[in-house]
Amino acid sequence: MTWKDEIQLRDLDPGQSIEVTCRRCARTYYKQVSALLEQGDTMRYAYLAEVEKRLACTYRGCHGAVRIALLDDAETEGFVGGLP
Amino acid sequence: MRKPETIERLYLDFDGFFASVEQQARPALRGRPVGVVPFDSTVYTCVIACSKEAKRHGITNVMPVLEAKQKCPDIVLVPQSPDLYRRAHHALLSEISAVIPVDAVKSIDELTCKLEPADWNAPEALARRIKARIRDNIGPYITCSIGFAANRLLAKIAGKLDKPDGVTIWHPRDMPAPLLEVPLADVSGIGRRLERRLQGAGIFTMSDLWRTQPKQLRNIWGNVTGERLWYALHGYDIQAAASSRGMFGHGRVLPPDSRDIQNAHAYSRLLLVKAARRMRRDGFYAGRLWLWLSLRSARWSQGIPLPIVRDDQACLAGLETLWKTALRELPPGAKIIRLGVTLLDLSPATGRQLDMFVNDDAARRRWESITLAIDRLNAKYAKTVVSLGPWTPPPGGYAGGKISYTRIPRAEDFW
Repeated sequence: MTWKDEIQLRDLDPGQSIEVTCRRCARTYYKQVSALLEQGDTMRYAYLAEVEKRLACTYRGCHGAVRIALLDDAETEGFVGGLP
Repeated sequence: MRKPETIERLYLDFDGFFASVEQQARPALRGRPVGVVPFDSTVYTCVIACSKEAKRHGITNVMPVLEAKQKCPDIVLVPQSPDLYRRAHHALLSEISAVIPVDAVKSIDELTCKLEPADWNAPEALARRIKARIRDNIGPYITCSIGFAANRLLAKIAGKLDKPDGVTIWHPRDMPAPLLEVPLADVSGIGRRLERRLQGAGIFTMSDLWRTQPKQLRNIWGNVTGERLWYALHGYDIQAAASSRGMFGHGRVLPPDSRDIQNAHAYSRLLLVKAARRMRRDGFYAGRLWLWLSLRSARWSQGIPLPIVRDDQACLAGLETLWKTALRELPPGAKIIRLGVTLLDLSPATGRQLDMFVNDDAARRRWESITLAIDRLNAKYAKTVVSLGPWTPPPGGYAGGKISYTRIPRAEDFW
């Protein structure tokens, strides 16, 4: 079981970005969770592994299967005077 | 300041992250000494990360390639793949978050978590769950070392003691005994210069440092950092405050055959557009642009005020002004080894502060619309299909996609 089998789309913050990378042409797109949630209950209650299967590359003529990743949009915090 | 009575923090550090990700992704590299290098076109560079097999031969990070080859003739040098490391980082973070919420990402290969009370008494079990999750869902070649302690700094120091793939637990009741064994140089924030300063004050070991007073370290450091470090080492709940963004910029070392002014100018344009894209994405305007150039035996840098802008046209116009000055002041035939562009004096893009003496609002609105349309087209096609003027990526790729302590690039930064 990976994280994609444990998290439903509705568990995510609507403002969060999902990175969608085509396994065929390697192009990367960004989808807002809110935009995916608007696609109805089948998407809302889908686990991310299912969301991944339902999405396809949007590049003209490609329509390849995709890989998704959750983006942590927060900046890395870095170190201040060596303190983590 | 609160002094925790139990372990409250976890610090996780991936072992030889870049090299182990390469080994996980490319089976041919497994079990071999691997050194990751910035470019594959020259030996006059350094190993930026190495595998545990390479470390056994005495290779260290930031070792010159020629020295690494002398120590380990069989070393496999692999050019860096920032996009691969970035993807691995996000996948690993998602798996770890399924076990415990991540409190802060400190860099591409380091993160810290706040322990739940249920984990205070069973840190080993938590570490086993995290490691099993990574092994089963990502792969066995990416390992991590985990430290548990009262605060982030102690947990970080503890985690370094049992590398690779270790777990170290420093319970407050056992302190300071294990800390006193640690060399001063292994404390984050104590570099060579500070170590010399400490020696000048009669502090040579961790025991000496432990016996100091907070104000004494403040004097040695010359600022509050020393005092904060004292409290952190003594187990108080203290950590770095989240910093706010002060600039957007990119720098680049130019390959030996591309160091003329013409190439440097073209690369600086590309780097500036990439910095401006990031600035727009994060919702800022810039009020100043800085260009710096490193020559073989000199440096040139200069800044210019910008009329609080975020569109490519205004940023590039500022850059052209700076280049005109640079061309007047640089010696003829100057070779530019390294260059950088920085957008500074940031303000939130919620509303543009108009300049009393510049009537440019209509023009700026127009250029912002054009820039937004360009950004949308590039996002639609997932690459740079439209740009203002020529688009000349420097050799070596990954321009604008540098991984640093404070930045993990997004896929769009590589377009």
